[in-house]
Amino acid sequence: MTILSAHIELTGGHTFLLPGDLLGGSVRWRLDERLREAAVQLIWFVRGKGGAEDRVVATIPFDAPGSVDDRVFELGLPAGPYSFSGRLFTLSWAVRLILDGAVAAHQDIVLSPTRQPIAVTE
Amino acid sequence: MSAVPPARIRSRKAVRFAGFSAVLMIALVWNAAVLRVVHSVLLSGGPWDLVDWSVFLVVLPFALAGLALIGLAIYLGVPLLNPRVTIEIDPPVAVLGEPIDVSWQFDGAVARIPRLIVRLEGREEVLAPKHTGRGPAMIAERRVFRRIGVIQSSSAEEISRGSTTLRIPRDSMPSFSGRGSRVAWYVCLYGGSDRWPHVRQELEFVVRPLPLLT
Repeated sequence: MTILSAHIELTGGHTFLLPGDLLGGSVRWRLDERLREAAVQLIWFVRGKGGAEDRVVATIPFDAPGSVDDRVFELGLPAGPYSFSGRLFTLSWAVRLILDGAVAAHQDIVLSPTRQPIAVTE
Repeated sequence: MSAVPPARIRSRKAVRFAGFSAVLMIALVWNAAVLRVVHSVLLSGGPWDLVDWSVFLVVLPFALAGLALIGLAIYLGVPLLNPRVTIEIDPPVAVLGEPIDVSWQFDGAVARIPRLIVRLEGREEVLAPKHTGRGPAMIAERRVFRRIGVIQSSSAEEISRGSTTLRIPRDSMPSFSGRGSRVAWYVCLYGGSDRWPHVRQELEFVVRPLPLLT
C-alpha cells in the first residue's frame, strides 16, 4: 500500500489546548489500493534520557474506510499528563492518523493549563 | 482534614546503624591484619637500616586503605548522634493549587541543628534501564525543575517542631510516571551547620493535575 497523501486538520487550527477541551478536526487520505482499517489516535509520548515511550490515550476507528476518504472526529482531552519540557525528557501530545496499522499523519498538540508546555524554572 | 491518613516518614536510624556497624567491623579486622604484618615484618625484623623497604612499599597501600575505612566509619557514625525527624503531609495526595499541610518534628539533640530549611522540590527523574517494576525504581539521574521555599529558620522552637500550609502553583507539573521517566514531588528537610553533618530527610508525595471543569 502506498499513501499518496494523508492530512490532519484541527478545528480552527488550535494546537494549544486546555485539559478537558474538546478537540475536533478532520482527516483525509488518498491511497493507491483498498484500505482495511483507519483510525485517529490521541497519544502522549516521551522522548529523552529515559528512552522513548508512546501511550495511546484514545482511539476513534472509522467504519468502512475508502481508499480516498475524509472523516471528522472529536475527542475529549483528559486532565493530564501535561505537556512538559524538561532537561532530561519531554512529554508531548499528538493526534495520529493510522491507516492499516501504520502512522500516516501526525499532528503535535500542547495540553496544559497554560496552553504552553510546563517548563523548568530552576 | 482529609479522611485519608497523612503521609509520614521518619529517619531510619536502624538502617544507618547497620551500615556503620558493618564498615566499623571491616575497618577493625582490616587494620588488625595490617598492623600484624607491619609489626612482624617491619618492626621485629631488626634495626631500621635492615628493614626491607620493598615490603614497606607493598604494605603502604593496605595501611592507607585501613585509614580510609576508619574515616568512612567516622563519617557514617557521627550522623547517628543527630536527632531523628518525622515529616508529615496532609492530605497525602496533593492537587495543584490546593492547600496541603506540611509538619515536622525532631526527637533528640535539636540544639545540634542551628538552621533548618524545609522546601518542596519537583524533580524530573530517569529510571535505571533494568527496572523490572518490582520494588522501588532505581533512579539513574535527576534534575530539579521547580523549587518552592517553605520555611528557613534558626529559631530552636521552630526547628524542633513546626508546620506550614502551602500550595503547589497551578502552572506546575503534576506527578507523572512513565516506563523510563517520571516527575516526582518531595518535601525536603535540611538541618545542620557547617561543622556538624547535616540532617537530610525527604518524603515523596503525589501531586494530581487540576480537576476538569464539568
